[in-house]
Amino acid sequence: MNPITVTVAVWAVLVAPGALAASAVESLEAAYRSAGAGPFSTGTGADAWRREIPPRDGGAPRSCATCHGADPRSVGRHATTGKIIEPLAPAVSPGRLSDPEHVEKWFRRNCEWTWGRACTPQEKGDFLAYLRGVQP
Amino acid sequence: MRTKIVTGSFALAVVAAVGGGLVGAGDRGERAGHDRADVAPATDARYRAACGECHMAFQPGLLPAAAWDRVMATLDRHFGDDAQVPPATADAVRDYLAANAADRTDGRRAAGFGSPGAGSATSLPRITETRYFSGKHHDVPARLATGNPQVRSFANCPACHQRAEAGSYNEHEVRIPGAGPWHD
Ligand code: HEC
Ligand code: HEC
Repeated sequence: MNPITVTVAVWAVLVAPGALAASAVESLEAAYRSAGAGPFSTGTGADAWRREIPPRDGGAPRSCATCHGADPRSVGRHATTGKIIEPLAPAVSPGRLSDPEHVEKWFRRNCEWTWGRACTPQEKGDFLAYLRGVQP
Repeated sequence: MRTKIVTGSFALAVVAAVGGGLVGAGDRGERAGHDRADVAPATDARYRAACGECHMAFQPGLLPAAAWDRVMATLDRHFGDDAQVPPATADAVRDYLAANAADRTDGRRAAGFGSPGAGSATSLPRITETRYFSGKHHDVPARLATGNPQVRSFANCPACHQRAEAGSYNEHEVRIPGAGPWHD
């Protein structure tokens, strides 16, 4: 990797986090669209963020907000481990939603934990639209 | 490709920041006349990335090698979560944990954390169920730990131990959220 590429990459992280999230989200949205999903809605994403589903083991109902907080600009806390989770909104957390593989990994893990099933491409696109649209 | 490079430089920055923090913390500890860390800090970048996302990246010296092996064997059913990582990462993490486990090193607390826990043979081993851990925490009421919204679990070491990430668990550095410094 040449030093100029690295400098540019570091500059991009420091200076233009919004732009980074934008290109990653766009590539994910394109993939969801080719699976038949879309258009994506911030309102539907916002509702889904707070939708509570009781887990099969009979514990307390869970939603995204259980660990991340009702406001994606706020700091969250893992429901079981208590670990602090930095805000998900790219508007306040530079670097969030900037790596498509990372985003897919956490959709896979957390849709399962929270709702007991995988999220559909439509649901994922709506979540991304909501999170990316949140203003500082 | 662009994303890869960016993620890579991010990872470097994080490692640099964590490494710097650990070195800094060590310096401060020595100046203040504290002992060296109770357990060696978890420095392996791959381990920190794979096992430090949902909870602190527990130092390998907090469990014996056999216990780490059992944890690594069932990452798909990990305390109610899915903690699977790609096979190459899992191999590297397993080796790192085995080489630095409590019963393979001679840190100050190695003998304590290196002896088997009271947990059952069927459930996953926990640091918080080793006899040593229970012995050290039996004076800490549940209200301040599991019942404390700012702590939630005894496995949340850094919530109470200010320098847990640096492997330091000195009882004089304990500050329980909502309850302040610990006096026994
Ligand atoms: C997807 C989230 C997630 C990931 C990733 C993860 N863990 Fe965990 N881990 C948990 C949860 C949840 C618990 C239960 C915590 C509790 O009860 O407080 C836990 C508990 C543990 C415990 C027992 C803590 C105790 O109570 O003493 C160990 C040991 C552990 N994890 C090791 C690992 C290792 C090693 C890795 C990396 C291969 C890893 N974890 C990755 C979620 C995760
Ligand atoms: C709810 C707060 C809390 C949490 C969470 C917690 N501890 Fe502690 N820990 C304490 C307190 C308080 C003491 C001192 C107890 C005493 O001496 O009476 C202590 C003592 C210790 C000691 C002995 C220190 C000494 O100087 O002898 C060790 C080692 C330790 N803790 C390790 C851990 C590890 C590892 C974790 C996470 C797996 C953890 N603790 C989680 C509160 C906590």
